[in-house]
Amino acid sequence: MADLLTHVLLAYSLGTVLSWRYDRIEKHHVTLLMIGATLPDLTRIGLIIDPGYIQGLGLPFSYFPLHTILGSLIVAFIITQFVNDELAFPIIGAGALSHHLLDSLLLNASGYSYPLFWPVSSYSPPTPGLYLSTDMWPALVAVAVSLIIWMIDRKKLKSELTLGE
Amino acid sequence: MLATFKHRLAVVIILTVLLISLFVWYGSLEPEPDVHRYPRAEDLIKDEQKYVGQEVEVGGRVVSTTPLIIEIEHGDDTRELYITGADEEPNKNDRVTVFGTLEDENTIAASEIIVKPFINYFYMYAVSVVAALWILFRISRQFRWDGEGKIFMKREGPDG
Repeated sequence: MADLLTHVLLAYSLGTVLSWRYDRIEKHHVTLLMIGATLPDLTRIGLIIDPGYIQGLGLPFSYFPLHTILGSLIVAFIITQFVNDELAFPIIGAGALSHHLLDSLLLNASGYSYPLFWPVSSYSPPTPGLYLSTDMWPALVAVAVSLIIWMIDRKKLKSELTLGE
Repeated sequence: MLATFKHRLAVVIILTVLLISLFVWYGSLEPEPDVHRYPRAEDLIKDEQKYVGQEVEVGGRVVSTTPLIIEIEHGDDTRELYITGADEEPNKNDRVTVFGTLEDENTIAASEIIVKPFINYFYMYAVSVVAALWILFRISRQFRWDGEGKIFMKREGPDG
């Protein structure tokens, strides 16, 4: 998994650009996209409740399904039950998919990514190994891109307000 | 969105049960090298003999650099493994992921090793906290909790 900031910045950039193109996508939808981009990393719950302790109770257990497409879409749908917005599920789901897209490019020791389609398929696609989750440069690139998009967005907003007056 | 809170709650309960079932199902799976699901730290801790001669992929903390020894953990259980043939030189306390052949129950002949320096791990968690705080800030500005409907509503205004 790339660091969470890179995922969230990518989602912010993606959502903001989409809001330029589609009037239905508003600022709060960008936030929903950012929330979706964090969902696969809910596996980090393992830092608080180690799966080893649960297995110690005699139950086979792994948080990994949270880091699959199906698992993150299930969590997206659960969250959708508490958001009054008809676009909530597709947008939170799209955020989760953007996370998987970035993570499928990560460098892995075996040269293969992870079974993101499980349980439909156990196939792990080969990874190009572009970066490590602990590399700093992906976040720096993402910050630069997001800043440019933020500035363009502000400019567009100002010109819309001027036109409206 | 479903009409009533009871319906929504039922959906949440059903999906949570489904999710927990997936946790148990995946946890019950054996390593399957044919689909690149190699034995990992928890598999080696449970039964180190079983995977001797097989390719494994384990992550752990460097406890010694010469020779290279890593500590793997699972729950409260830990084990130390010698790593041979590594073309990287990690420092003590760095995290590494090793892919290679388990030569005997205590030694992996590495064909690939990825080093994640300790400071980078700290960085990763620090920026992740920043990301989480940014999202919480945006939620507080753009959404409000409707206690009656038990649902988040878009907050009207320039930030919504």
